[in-house]
Amino acid sequence: MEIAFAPYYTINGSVLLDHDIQSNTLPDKSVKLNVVLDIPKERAASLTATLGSLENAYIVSLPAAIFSDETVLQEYLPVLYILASFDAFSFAGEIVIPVLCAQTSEQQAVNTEEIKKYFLGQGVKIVYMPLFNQHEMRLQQVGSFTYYVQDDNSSRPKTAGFTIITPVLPGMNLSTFNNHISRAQTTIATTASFHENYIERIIFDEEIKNWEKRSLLYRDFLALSKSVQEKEYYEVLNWYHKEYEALPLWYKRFGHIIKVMMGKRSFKSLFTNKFKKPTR
Amino acid sequence: MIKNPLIAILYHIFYEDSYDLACRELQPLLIYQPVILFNICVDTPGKREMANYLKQAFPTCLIIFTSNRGKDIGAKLALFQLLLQLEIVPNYILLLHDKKSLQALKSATWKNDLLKIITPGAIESSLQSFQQDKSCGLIATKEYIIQEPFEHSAFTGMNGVLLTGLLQSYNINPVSYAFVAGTMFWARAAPLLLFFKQFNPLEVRKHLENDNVIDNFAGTVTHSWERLLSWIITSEKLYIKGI
Repeated sequence: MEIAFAPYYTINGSVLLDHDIQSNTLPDKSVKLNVVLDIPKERAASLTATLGSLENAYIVSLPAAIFSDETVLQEYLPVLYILASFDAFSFAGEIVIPVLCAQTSEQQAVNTEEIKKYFLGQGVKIVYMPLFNQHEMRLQQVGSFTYYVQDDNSSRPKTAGFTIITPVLPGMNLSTFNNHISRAQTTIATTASFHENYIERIIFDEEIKNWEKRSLLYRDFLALSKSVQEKEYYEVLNWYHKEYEALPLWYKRFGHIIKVMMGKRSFKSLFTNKFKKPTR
Repeated sequence: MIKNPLIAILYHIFYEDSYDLACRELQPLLIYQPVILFNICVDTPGKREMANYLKQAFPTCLIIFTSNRGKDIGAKLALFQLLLQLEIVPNYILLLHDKKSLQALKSATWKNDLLKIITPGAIESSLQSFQQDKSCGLIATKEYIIQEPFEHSAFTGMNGVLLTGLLQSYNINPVSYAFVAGTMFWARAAPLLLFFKQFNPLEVRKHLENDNVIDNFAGTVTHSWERLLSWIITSEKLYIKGI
């Protein structure tokens, strides 16, 4: 069955930073963004602040031309991890980091395994990294991800999963980006619900898994609390035996006489074995 | 004297019912206009709704979702990376999380005790202490300032072997082995920021254990870092003040 595409509109990080996007400069909070990480490390702080406060859901793409440099990649890995951890990113439902290449020969240049290994080190088991040729005009399908250069006359691609659309306009600024989106939105408006359904399903499945994990966790807590409290109980008991029970009998008996003298127990109680629960 | 000190709050949320708690706890701090950074565990059910609510309650806050690696310690390390990445340089850092420790006998009182540091009176007196006493590096609930057991030139606690190795690896030389159990405290920011600029917090984080580890039966890297977060500061000849 063909399902309508799920668009993430591509915009360069540098274009986002050159505008104050917090003042409603993007057309619609429902527009999802594919932000190309084309910025120097010095601008990472600004991009982090911008994406951290962005209300639009987004994913981040890596330009192969920049990230094929191993030194740049190593510098950017922590930055990339944090950008992929923001709540707006999470509305993608899964971690997808497309790699955009200027030509096919670049596709092997980015060390995607190194990136996946880094994310795994942070506890993220699955990172999808589809590689696309940024300037290829035909529709590109990698797994369940599609890359698609939108022009106004093109027919809509129909595919399951993510679609990363790019206006790919040289020298693109925010107003051309916004114009592009408003034109593109009219062509996809009737099919937007398919996309929402796809993301909602991912999120719904994830929620069910999380509740299942949480119920197992609480069960583990019950078992764990039993062993921990048992350990604490024996620690107290051992302390008692070591510090009190090991004392000579005459010493302990003398202690009881002192208790009587201090009014902590009755004289009569010295001659009975019945235990009287202390009252408060 | 710093007139309007910049405070950064690093708050980790693990439990699904912590939204109200976080909002209530942070209310007395809002008059100081702090930078608020939240981390929510990716395994927390309803995390996206919680993030939405938190954004409404604290419009300028930033929220990340990270895996349950290193419990609240791993989460705080991720938040340190976020803080450094934003190039925010606070004067003081407040570390908090929604501690429950359901396995512990005293779990009910534990969190309440630790939160003494963010009652309105304690906030004011903590800031004053930092300003008036330059050697005060950490402020925490006094009952939770614990001395790590150290006898005959060696750590004798469950995490002893790990601690010895970590102190050497990261060149941390604390003047005493006191630390804040529970990792909820006020800290002078400079020593922590300096340390994590030298040792990337996410590099540290990748060595921590996954899921809800405990150190009741064997030492863990996570619990060792619970101690090191205090010792990074006390190794700068700063002391821990109890309130």
